[in-house]
Amino acid sequence: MAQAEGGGVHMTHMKNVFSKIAIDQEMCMHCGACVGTCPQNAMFLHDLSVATDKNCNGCRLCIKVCPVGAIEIHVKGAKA
Amino acid sequence: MKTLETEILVVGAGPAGSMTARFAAKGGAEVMMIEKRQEIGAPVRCAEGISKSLLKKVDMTLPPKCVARNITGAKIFSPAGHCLTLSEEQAGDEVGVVLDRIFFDKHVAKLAIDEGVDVRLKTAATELIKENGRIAGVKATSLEGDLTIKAKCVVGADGFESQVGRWAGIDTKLSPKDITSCFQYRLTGIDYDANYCEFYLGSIAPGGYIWIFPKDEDTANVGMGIQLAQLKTPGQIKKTLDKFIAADKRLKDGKPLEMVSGAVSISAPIEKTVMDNLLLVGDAARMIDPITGGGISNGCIAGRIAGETLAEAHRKKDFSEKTLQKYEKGWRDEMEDRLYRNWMAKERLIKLSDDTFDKIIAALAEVGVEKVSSLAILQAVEKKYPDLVKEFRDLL
Repeated sequence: MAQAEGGGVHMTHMKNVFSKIAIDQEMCMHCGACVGTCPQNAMFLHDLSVATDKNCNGCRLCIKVCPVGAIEIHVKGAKA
Repeated sequence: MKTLETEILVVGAGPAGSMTARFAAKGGAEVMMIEKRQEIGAPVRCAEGISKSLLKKVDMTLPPKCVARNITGAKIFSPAGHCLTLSEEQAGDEVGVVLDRIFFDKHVAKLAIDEGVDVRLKTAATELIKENGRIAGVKATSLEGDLTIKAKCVVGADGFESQVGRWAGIDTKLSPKDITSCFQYRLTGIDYDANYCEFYLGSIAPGGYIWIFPKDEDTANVGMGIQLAQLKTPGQIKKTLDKFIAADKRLKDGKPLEMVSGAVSISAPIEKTVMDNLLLVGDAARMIDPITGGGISNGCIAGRIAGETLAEAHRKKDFSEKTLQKYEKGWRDEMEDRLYRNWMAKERLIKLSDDTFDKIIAALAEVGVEKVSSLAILQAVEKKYPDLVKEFRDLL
């Protein structure tokens, strides 16, 4: 998975395990489905990228709503 | 940092934002409209169907290039293939014209510009600014660098993403039951009846449907939406649509000209769309019809009411919540009952089995229906098959 550094990848704290929402910027259609869905308002649509911030709590709704499957979560410290 | 000043700042130049800007400026207000994209109307995130009756309500005619196709009616298919054919008049709000949004959005923006609205592209709001506790404008990025744009009233017309409302503290959060995730191709080289919008219901698209909206003789928008709460795997929408297309002999050899993804709200109306010095309109105010997923009509109609309310606020020099209540009441009088009823109906429709869909569509095809609204459908079915609608009786 091609992951953009910075904007698309953010370390976040979730129930004592560190997880990482990874947006594949090349698969991303920049449609904003994840942005409007995010209950934490932790995602942002720029002209040609989507970013997440520290308010992400790992709820994974963005992964489910993404029409093309461009979002993954990597959990460290948990059995993947 | 450069500072600009205006009376009303509209964030987002989609149809709802442009319509708001147009009617506010027409009433004498000074209006600036900012759009984060470099082009109004692109990229398209829409199936592009509207009814002709909308145009009169918002005082506009469509230049020919905005219209991709005039439609004779709609065909609604049940899972087993029963078909209900409806004329344009019967089919209601989202059938009649399939637009070219790329031109339509520019046309509505032009109507705003003709009234004196100052439009700025590639200008993205990043936060609200407050002075003495009151909303006083936004900070924005632009090609000229970072901007402070001061305004007496900020209009959030920023679509499904709806940042402005959240920054202001208005609750626009959606439950997974109230979101539909969508994917669409514009397919060309297909052999089909280009005079009808087609809808496919049932478990193939729980909480949504598959649509075929004609663009021309051999090209159509072919897409689907599924309720977020029903989605199981990443990318499920696109995969399900691909399967549907591959299995349809009219569509399987079609080639894509465009791919569109997005999400729409299918929620009950939100509790509040105005506060001191701020209002929300269109998808940002969750005005999309929960059954059809259509948002252009409601956004344009609410935009007109918002613009006219803002023009009055301009004359009174008062952008308080109290003055803006006229908009809150106006759009609710126009569409709140219908949105609420369709939201309730949507919740029940998700629970229907394919077998029941088959019976309902077959029954409707037999008895006919005057106009397709959730209410009219239920009434028509109840006449002949009361058992089928017993779960919906409280909505009648």
